[in-house]
Parts: sequence; structure tokens; C-alpha cells
Amino acid sequence: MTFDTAAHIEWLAALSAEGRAPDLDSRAARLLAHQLELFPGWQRLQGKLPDRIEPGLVRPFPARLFKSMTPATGNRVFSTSGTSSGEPGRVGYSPADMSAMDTVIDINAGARLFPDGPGITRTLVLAPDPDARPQMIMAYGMQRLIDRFSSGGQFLIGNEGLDVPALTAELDQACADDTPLTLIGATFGFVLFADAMIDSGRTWSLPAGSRLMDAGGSKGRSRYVSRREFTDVIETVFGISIDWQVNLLGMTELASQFYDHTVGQANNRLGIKINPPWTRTWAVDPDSLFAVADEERGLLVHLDLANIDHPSFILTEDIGWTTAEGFVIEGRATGSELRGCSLTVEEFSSASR
Amino acid sequence: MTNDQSLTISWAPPGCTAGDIAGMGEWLRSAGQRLRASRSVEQIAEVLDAAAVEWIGRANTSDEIVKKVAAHSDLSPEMVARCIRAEQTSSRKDDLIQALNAELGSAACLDQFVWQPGLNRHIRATGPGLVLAILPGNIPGLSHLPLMRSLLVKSPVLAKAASGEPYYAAAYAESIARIDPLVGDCLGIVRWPGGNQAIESTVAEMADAVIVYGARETIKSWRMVVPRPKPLVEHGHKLGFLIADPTWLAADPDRLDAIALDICMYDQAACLAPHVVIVLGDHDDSERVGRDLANAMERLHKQLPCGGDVTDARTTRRAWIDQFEWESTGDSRMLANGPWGAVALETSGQIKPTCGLRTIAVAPAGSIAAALSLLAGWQDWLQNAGLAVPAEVARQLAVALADMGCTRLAPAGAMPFPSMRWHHDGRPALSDLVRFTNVEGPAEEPLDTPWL
Repeated sequence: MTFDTAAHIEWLAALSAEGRAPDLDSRAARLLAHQLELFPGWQRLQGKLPDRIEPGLVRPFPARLFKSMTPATGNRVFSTSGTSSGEPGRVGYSPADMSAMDTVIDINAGARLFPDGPGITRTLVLAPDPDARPQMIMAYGMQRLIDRFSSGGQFLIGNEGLDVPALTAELDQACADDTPLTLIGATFGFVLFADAMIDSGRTWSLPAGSRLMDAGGSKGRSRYVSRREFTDVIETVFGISIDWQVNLLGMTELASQFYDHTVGQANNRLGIKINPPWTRTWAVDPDSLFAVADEERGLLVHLDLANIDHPSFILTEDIGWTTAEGFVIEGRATGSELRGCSLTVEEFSSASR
Repeated sequence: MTNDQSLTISWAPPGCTAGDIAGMGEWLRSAGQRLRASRSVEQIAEVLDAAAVEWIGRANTSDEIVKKVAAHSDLSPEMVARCIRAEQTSSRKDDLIQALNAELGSAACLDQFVWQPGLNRHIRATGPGLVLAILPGNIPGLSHLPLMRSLLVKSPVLAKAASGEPYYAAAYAESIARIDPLVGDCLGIVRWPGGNQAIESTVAEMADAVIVYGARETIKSWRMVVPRPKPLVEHGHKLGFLIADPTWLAADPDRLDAIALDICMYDQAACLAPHVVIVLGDHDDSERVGRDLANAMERLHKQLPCGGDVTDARTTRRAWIDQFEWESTGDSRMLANGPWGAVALETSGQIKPTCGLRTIAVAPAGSIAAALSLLAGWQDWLQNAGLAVPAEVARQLAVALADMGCTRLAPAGAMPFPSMRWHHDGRPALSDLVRFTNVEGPAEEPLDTPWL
């Protein structure tokens, strides 16, 4: 039976960002059946689909295998940031995927980042312009936030890196005009900017209603910053309180994003990502792929029903755990480097080239 | 630096310079001169034997060093203890002296000129004034090998501990120093960030011989800095495999347990471990062997647990399984996996390394010729071959495998335990370090030649 893409997107559009979709399992089963037809390699690994969609019963598609796949012609291609072996994956988004992604970006951001409505803030993005980096899904999503929710905005990372004079001028202007800002960017970009501003003694007290959304974290960077330290630094430099800060998890493989908070509410659950109703997350045992109990560490598996024409049931390389409220990411599995004298596949491959 | 300072354990502090390490090297060189003047090779072997006895006795899961190494590595404490005991069991005095006798003709030639009647000459072997050793990482117990080989040729050694396993070499050196401080003075265990060109070119220049363990890139980089013709003993990464006859295996269930040990020892991080079991039979034979092997590996996991937790080893193994299954065609498939490891059936007619961590591919080969053709293309990487076959098949395989490049053939269950007399990577590990001096003379003038 042909999958009804239009009906599925309508179903997504009718959802809110809260709660759990009552028909998630049956929708997921239909969607996965459609995707297994599109990806025979995955179909071969999975075999017949059971009624219940959950790890252990259904084989999640490993995120790392995107680097072994060629996106279909006509799809928009986004690149992953690379795996521990350094090779980026390429994820193809069909027109239906793009439409579903737009839909869920709007629902999620409308509820979590702009609950007070669109057009209130000007948005400054500490990321490259999507025209400059069309393969970067984060840049695409941020452009969408400017287009749908902001009174205007600009991207502030160019070929020379962050345009600090432009950013400081924008911050000064916002304070002078009493215009609230939405600041968006990679976590570590904010850390670097904040460090530099603190060193030079420059801070701002942005107008009420200003907010900040950071994506990613600082693990593996030159300076590790805890979440609490990060929110304190942001408050010091921009005058944005912790209640108006939100952290976002996005993955190139997933059309949906996971927020950890709704701006303007008391922020007392730092680090717990919230599953919107069309998604679900499990932590699984790496050997059996069955889900482990809440609070127990495992590899995270996401089900994202906004992925229509590419796998929606994804095995990540993120270590974390689930809670009653959502899930927590501890960090990226680095993989166990074989440090003995046994030959590795990579070594043989590189010597053979 | 004065000679009354012990340099047995010298951790190069952060910011330590090439000059600091060169100073250690000079100090070790003078300690080596005192060693050669005051200890016979037999006395040194006795010190090493006493250290072996100590470690065979103390290597258990409650030992602090064992716990430390396990905590820092991906190996379980049980495995770390077993590794150390295995390495030290082959490091007893008789093994050491036999190895010297086998390679040098007589161990005593390291102390004095020795008459070799059949060759009509006196011979003396002189070890390097200073050995530089780049120690292996993450295989506890193995790091003592270059230290021991250097001492056996009466040479001091400046050893760079691996970041992956920095503890055991230092603890072993401490044992030696307790047993005989003068011998212990000849061991300097240091660390510096790999790739520090100033330090590495300085130490390569000052050492008289260099022993390097590491990946091909590491070895290549040392080849660039070690001046020729200085001896450079290389131990690079290798691919181990095992050839099994299913009928021979079926005759005794212990034989599968032996293969499981070959795979699982050191969690397969050693070059000794097989990554592929080539089954002399068809797909069904291979699948049966693979499933039985999985059961044996699971049993072994209960005694010698697989190391690592969700964040490293098991995630790496999961990634290998996913990749294998994604790429597999025909009958190739995963036969079993769990916390104990993984077994795959590989029917593509090609073999390649697994990710280690107790993962093995089982590949059918309908004949000896087919088995050998599976290995074609791997000549540069061959070293250890396990043979789980009847004697007559082993005889047929031995010459062919030697011609292909294997340097050690071992029965099932013995792959992880080479003797001290093995020509490591096909080379005489001890005599490659020494310089021989021959005195040619008339046969009627043996040992008491006055001018010697």
C-alpha cells in the first residue's frame, strides 16, 4: 500500500509540542514499512516488521551507515559533522522530508523558543549563512526561525569566522532601541565570544524578552564548560537569565529537534531533552539493542516521524539515558581505539590505498 | 645528575625538554657500563627470573597495579592479571638463557670471548650502550619484553611508556630495582607527548639501538628519525588467523575452547590473536564451527570477562556488526553476538580484520589451496597462524604459510603464548640488538688464548 505522505504531514501539522501522539505506534509501523521499501539494505537487516515499533523488535538504522549510502537524485543533501572515523555522512531529504521538517520546526520552536508569539524579537545567528553552507542542516533550520518567528535577523559567521564588530554593534543597538533579541548558535561559539567579552570587560543587559538558544555542547573542545557554568556566563555577558535560555539537540539524520526547556518558564531541569509527540527516544544495550531501563546508560535510539523518505528509527552513537521527562545525553561514544598490535581495518585500508 | 640518583622510574614532567631526557639517557648509559662490569648475564637472568616469580604470584584482581591497568584500559582485571601471568611465565631464567643460547650460540659470549670450536673462532657479543624502546600500549605485560631483552644483552634502556598503558612497565621496573638496584638503575621509564620532534630526534640520535612497537604510521615516523645504520627493531601491527578442520575439532570439544582462548586473550588486541577462522569445509561446516565457537567464547567470558563498557568497547563492536551486516552479501551474516563478543560467517571469499574486542569471522575454504588463496594479498601483514588441524594437514600447510610470510605457527590454544625463543616477527630479537666480535685463530688455541 502506498504511503500517504500528504496525510502524514497533515497529521504532523495538527500536533502540538506537548504530550504524546496517541496513534504513534500505528503511524510508526506504517511509516517504517514505507521506509523499508525505500531502503532494501535496511529491509534485509530487519525482515518482517512487528506491530510494536521499539528497539530489539525493530532494527534501528545506524546513523553511521549514512556514509555508506548515496542520497537519491532530487533530494536535498545535508552532511553530518563526521563520525569518530572522520568520514561525514550524507543524508538526503526529499521534498516531503523538507516539508515535514518545516512543519515540526514551526511547532517545536513556536512552543519552546517563541511561546510569546512571532515577530517579537530580532534574531542573530552565530552560524554560517545557509547560502554559504547549504549542506549544513543547522543553518537551514536557523534561517527558518528567522523567516517564521523574527522581525529580522542576520547570520554572523563568515569566511573569516565570527563577525565580532557586527555582533557587538547589534547588541549595542538592541539595548539602545529596547528591542529584544533571539541569539542562536553553537554552544561553543557562545563560549568563545563570552570569554572574549569578559576579558575585554564588555557585557550587555539585553531588553526583556531576549532569549538564547544554543545547540550542541562543549565536550571535546579546547575548554569544557558545564551547563551551569554556561548559563551563568550567558547571564553575565548578555543579561539573559537562565529561564530564557534553551539548549537544542539537532542531528542531520533527524528532521526534528529536541529542546530542553520552554523559554520564560522556570528552568530547573537542565540537560533533559523533551520528546515532542511525534518522536520517542530509548537508551539501548549495544549488544542486544533492547531498551534498558530509565536512568540506565545506553546508546540512544530515536524514532522521529518527521523523517518520511529517510530512516526514522535511528541508532545514534550518543551515550545517554532516558528519564520520565525525556532523555539526557552524556556524550558521543568515541569508540574503543584498538591500541594493541593487532591490525585494524582502517590501517589495512589506508596502507592498501 | 649524579650517579647516586636512581632513575628507575622517571616520569618526564610536563614541559620536560629534549635536554632533560638526553640527561636521563646519559645517566642510563653510565649505569649500563656499571652493569656490564659487575653482572654476568646469568646473574641478570636470575634477577629477571625473580621478577617473573614475583609477578606470577602477585598478578591477581586484588593487586593495585592490576586494578590500575584495568581501570585505565579496556580490559577486565581478570584479563589484565592473566596477561601478566602469561607473559611472565615465559620469562623464567631457563627460557631466557635458552633464548640467548639459541640466538648467540652461547649466552656467556655476552660476558667474555667464547671459543666456538666448529667455527674456529672466539666470539663475543656486545649489547648497545643505550637502547631506546617505544613500548606497546594496552597489552599489559607485554611492555616488559623490550626491557627484558635489553637487560639480557646487558644494555640499559630508556623506554617511552604508552599513553594507553603507562603503569605496568614502571611497576615492573620497580620490581627489578628492588631485587637488584644496580640492574634497576638501567631502566628509565619516561613519557612524553608522541610526535615531539625535538625529543624524538634527540633520543633517536643518542640511543645505539631502537625498539619500536606501534602502528605502521608510528613505525614510519621512527624510521625517519633513527639514523642509519643504527639497529631499528620494528614490531608493527599484524593480522592473525587460524585454520581449522571441522572433523578434527569435533573429535574433542576442548579444541573449540582452545580456539576461543586464542581469540579472547588480550581481548584480541595482540598481534597474536586471530581475526579470522578459516574452516576447511563448506558453509554448513563453517556455520556449525561458528556457532560452537560462539558458545565457547560465551563460556570463556564468564571466567575471563570481556572488558570495556557501553561507552567504548561494546559500542565499537556494535558499529562493526552494523557495518558487517550492511556490507554482507550472499550467505554472509552475523551468527551470534553478545557481551562476550561476536561471530560472523564470512562467505564472500575475502577476509579482513575485524574490530578486535573478541569479534571473529569464520570463513569456509573447501581445500587447503582455497584457504591459502583467502590469504593472498595479506602477505605483508601475516605473522601468527593457529592450526587446529590434524598433523598431516599441518605439515602440508607449514611450508606454504612460511613462504607466505607467517613467522609463527602454533596449535590451537597456544597462539597467545609464544615462547621467549620465538623469532619475533621472523627476526632474532636478541641477536639483532648486539654487535659480534670474532677473533679468528687456530683451532689448537682454544679458551686460554693469553691475549684474550
